[in-house]
This record gives sequence, C-alpha cells and structure tokens, in this order.
Amino acid sequence: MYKFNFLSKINQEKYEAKKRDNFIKLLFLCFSSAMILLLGLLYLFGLSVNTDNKIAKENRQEINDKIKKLRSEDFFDNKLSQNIYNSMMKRKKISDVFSAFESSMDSTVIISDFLYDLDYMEVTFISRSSNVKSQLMSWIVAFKDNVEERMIQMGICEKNNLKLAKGPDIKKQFSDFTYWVFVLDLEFPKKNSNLSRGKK
Amino acid sequence: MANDPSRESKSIGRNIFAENQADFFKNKSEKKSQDNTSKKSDTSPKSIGRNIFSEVPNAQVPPARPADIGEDLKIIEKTSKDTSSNKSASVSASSKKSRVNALHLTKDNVVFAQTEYDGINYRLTNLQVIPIEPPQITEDNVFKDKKDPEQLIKEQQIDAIDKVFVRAGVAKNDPLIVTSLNGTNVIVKQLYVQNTPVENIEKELPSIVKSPFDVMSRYEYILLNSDGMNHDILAAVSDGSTFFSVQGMLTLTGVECKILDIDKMAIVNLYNESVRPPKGTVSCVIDIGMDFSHIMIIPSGSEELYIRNIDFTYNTFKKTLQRNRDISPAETEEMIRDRNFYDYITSAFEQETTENLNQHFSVKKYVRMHLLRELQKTFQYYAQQNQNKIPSKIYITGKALEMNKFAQFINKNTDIPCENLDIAGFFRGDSSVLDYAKEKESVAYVAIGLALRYE
Repeated sequence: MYKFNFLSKINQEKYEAKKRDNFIKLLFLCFSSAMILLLGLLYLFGLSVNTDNKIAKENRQEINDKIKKLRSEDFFDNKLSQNIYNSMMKRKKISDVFSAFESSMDSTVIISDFLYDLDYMEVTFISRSSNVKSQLMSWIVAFKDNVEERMIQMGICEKNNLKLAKGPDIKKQFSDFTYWVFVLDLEFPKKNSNLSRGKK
Repeated sequence: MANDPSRESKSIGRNIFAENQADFFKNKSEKKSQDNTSKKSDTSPKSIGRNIFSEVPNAQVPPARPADIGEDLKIIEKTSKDTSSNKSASVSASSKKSRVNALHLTKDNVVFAQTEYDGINYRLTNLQVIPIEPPQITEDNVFKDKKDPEQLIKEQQIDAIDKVFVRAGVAKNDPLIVTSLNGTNVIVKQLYVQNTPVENIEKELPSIVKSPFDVMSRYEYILLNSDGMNHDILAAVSDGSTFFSVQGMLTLTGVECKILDIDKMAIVNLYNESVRPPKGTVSCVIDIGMDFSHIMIIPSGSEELYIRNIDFTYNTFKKTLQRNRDISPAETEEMIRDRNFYDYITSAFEQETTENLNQHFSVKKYVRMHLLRELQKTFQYYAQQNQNKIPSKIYITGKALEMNKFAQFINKNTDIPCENLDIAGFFRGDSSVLDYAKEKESVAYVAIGLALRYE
C-alpha cells in the first residue's frame, strides 16, 4: 500500500500550532486560576484580619484590665516596688517641672530655691534685670503664664493653679546690682498625681 | 490456429503497427481467418500473437460495459446488508472498523467513494458520481455567455462537492477525507538514497529529485526499504500550481481534507487490492484518462515501480477520430464504445484501399506513436533497468474500459495477456453499491483507489 500525503507537513505544522496554542491557553488558564485563587485568599485573609482586629481589641481591653488589676492589687504588694515606682514617678515630675521652667527662662533669671512635696511645689527665682519695675512685673507675669501653659500641656498643673506667691520687692531702690526675688508656687492637681494613685 | 507459429508472426495487431511491415492487402480468407481469430480471442483466454516477453497466463477478457456518462446520478446509500458469508470476518469487522472517504475531482466528474475496512476486507459503502457538464457552445449562446469555461467548470465542481457530501451524510471536516493531485505535473519516481540518515531525507529530497517545475514544487516520499543509512524511497514531486489549485478548491468548498494523495498511486493501490499479485510478478496497468493517461509498471517484489505519462488520452483520441471520420462527438463516442477498437483501427488498413489508408492515417499514427510506441519504450526502459524483467500481464483501466476490445488490441500488439482491471469484484458489501461501481468503473476507479487507505 503506497500512501502519500502531501498535506502531512501542513498537518504537522497545524498540529504543532494547535499544541502551542493549547499550551498557551493552558498557561493562561493556570495563571488566571492562580490569580483568582490568590485574590480569593487575599479576600479571605482580609476578612480574617477584621476578625483578628476585633479579637485584638478585646484582648487589649482584657490586658488593660489585667494591668489595672495587677497595679491595684498585686503589683504593690511588694514595698520595694512601690518605693521604686514612686521615686521614678517623682523623678519624672521634677524633671518635667524643671523642663517647663527652663523653656521659659532667659539669661536674666535663675532658680534660687526649690521646695518640692508630693502635693506642693515652691520655686524661688532671682532676676537680675535692669528693666523698670513695671516692666519687670509684666515680665514676671508673662513668665508665670508661660510656665503655667507649659505645665498644663504636660499635664502637671491645671488652669490658675500656678500662683505668684511672692512678687519682687518694689520698694527696693533700683541699681545695677539689684536682685529681684519672686516666688511661684503650685499645688499639684490630685488627678495628675501618680503618687496618689500609688497610695493605698 | 491460435498457436500456429507461422501465423503468429503475421499477427494483424502487431504487423499493422510494426515498422515497414504493414500487410495491408490480404485475401478474403486471410481476413476472415483474422476476423475469426479476433472474435475467438474475444472469448478465448489465449493470445494469438507470440508472447515475446513472457509466458501467457490464462486471461479472461470481460466484455467492456458501456457506461452511460450522461446518465444522472444514482444515489447508493450505505446499507447494513452484508452479502458475504464469511462469519469470522464479520466478527472481526464488528470489533475494528476504519472508514475512509475519498473525493476525486476532475474536469468531467466529481466522484465520492466511501469504504470500510474491518482488518481483513474492504466494504464499499457509498459511491457517488456527479458528472460535470459545462454548457455546450451553440450558435445561440456563443456570443451571449461571456463566462470563462474554466470558471463554469469550477462552479459546477463546487456544487457537486457540496452535493456528494450532503448525499453521503459525511461532514466536511471528517478526519478521514482523502483526495488526490491529478495530472501530468506530478512525478513519482523510485530512488536509492545512500549515506543519509532517515531524518535528513526530507531535507535533502529537493536536491535528490530535481524538480522540473517551479520553485514552489512540493515534495513527498515513502520509505520502501532502509538499512539505517541507505534507503529505497518512492519520491513524488508535484507542481506548486497543481498542489495549490487542489488546496484552493478544498478551501473554497470548506472540505477539511487532511490527506492528499496522488491519483496514480490510488490506481496502484487499487491494482494491488484487486489483483493481489503473487510475489515476484511484474504487471502493467494502462490507465487511459480523459485528459491524462499513464503506463504503470507495478512490481510485487523488489523491482522498481515505474510510472510514465503518455499523450494518448480519451479526449484527444476522440477528437482525432472525430476529425478523421468527420462525425459528431456523440457518434464518435458511440463508435468508440460499440465498435471493435481493433477493427476500426486496424481492419481499415487491411480492407480499404491505399486512398482510404491515407485518409485514416492520422488515427493510426496517433495510436501508434502515442500509445504503442510509448508502451514499447516503457517496457524497453524497464527491462534495461530491472534485469530484463517485463510485465507478465497488462491491465487496463479508466476510459480504456469504455473502448470496445481495447484489451484485445493491446494483447495483439504486445503479445502480453491483457484484461480489464476489476475495481469492484474484491469488495464486500451491498450488491447495489457494487453494481453501481461496476457501471461507473471508467470514472470511479481513482476515487475507489483513494479510499483503499486503511488507517
């Protein structure tokens, strides 16, 4: 049986082309499927993130409650811990107070004395100013307001808590070597006092 | 008398075409005896002439069936009826069947054949022949119809293709549709290729077989024998235009044909399937087509398969005869069909006068030059190439089957037994399909050959 086929090459080429097309189609389908799968997974993952967020919120609340409970009940059972905590909180407050003062002070003013209590603070300043007395008073009031504002921002004091306990002695004679003394006092607000929180 | 050697040398068939040996003038008794001889040989299997080539096996020359070309189609549908009584074959047939649809396109016919192969036998399940009949040019329409006749034929072919597929109930994208490249611009040649790996044969084919056609020539080959580096191949080269015209026609009609064979090879396969020649025999098939004819020498052993195109075609012969006898085309066809080929080619020269001989010379010359001499040349060439082997039998097919006593004529002129190639007898299947195949054997043979391609 003699069997010629003049279309064998064309058939072969067609077959190859079809195979190639099928391969490309398969590749495209695989890629598309993978992409769809990935998108689906991402969507599901997104859904699970929301769920986790709720859980996380609940967990945070739980943790906060536990911390509160720990601090209020168990943590301060040990006296040493309490002392350390108090001193740390105190140190923090003093440094905050100083930073509030220092940010408002200029080169003509220095702190002369600093009395510090858990509830009360008294700071004595000495100013060596060549201004006239009225200008000096204005500057001191402005200084006090600045410090107060700063402290309010820091949460150390409340409005009108910082007071000028003692103003400069305006009866003194003005000269180049005169020092003017004034005192600011502050009663720490109860709610900002960490120390009070630590007290049983 | 048929075996008388002294008569053999005076065989009319041979002498009339032999160079300078035409014995035109014989007495009546001789003529009668020759007539008787020819009549006897119509029915007798024995050859009258001396067989110069080989032993003469018994050959039965079946009477040529007149084929009615103008007759409209007879639609033969596939039936489930099986005429064969071979049960074992039937059992195997049910288990494994392969169906092949073949389409053969010519300018004169569109033929569709469908076969089924059950692993042992072929069944012819469907055969359809649609003749292409371009409008005849008459005085009335010669100036009116401006359409190109080629275009008209093409349109009719397209319609016919559509019809056969619809009638056969076969989809045009059936995976097993076979059609063929036809004509002389397809060369088939057996070659011996040395020192070439099998995978390189295809690449080197254009350098091995020099194409006489354009650069678009198409090459194909079949591996016949191979020892790894040396191969016997059957190479085929087709003209690009022939290839692309067939492909264009298939595209136009929407037929998704995947197999494109060669008409000549279909005839070779048909011969092998029909005759089933014993090993070692060499036979010849003379295929006379409407426009293309071939002489094929087909071995069933190791000899070379040789195919030669010849110029003796049915159409040209008809025209020559028509012109010579000054008769109408219909009368010419009738004459070819009904009158003894041998008689009207040969006897005229014996019975008529010199004047008549001269009158009939053109037909005689045409047959002699384009058929007999080509046959002789082919046999000589083949014998030279294949250790003096020549065909032991000649089969005729195609339009030659419509030429009355053509086989006898060939037999007389070659001294080789000659008979018609049976194209339907070896099939199993519905007798109506087989009868129709027998009726249309002169046009359906290539399509049937193409359908003998079990896969």
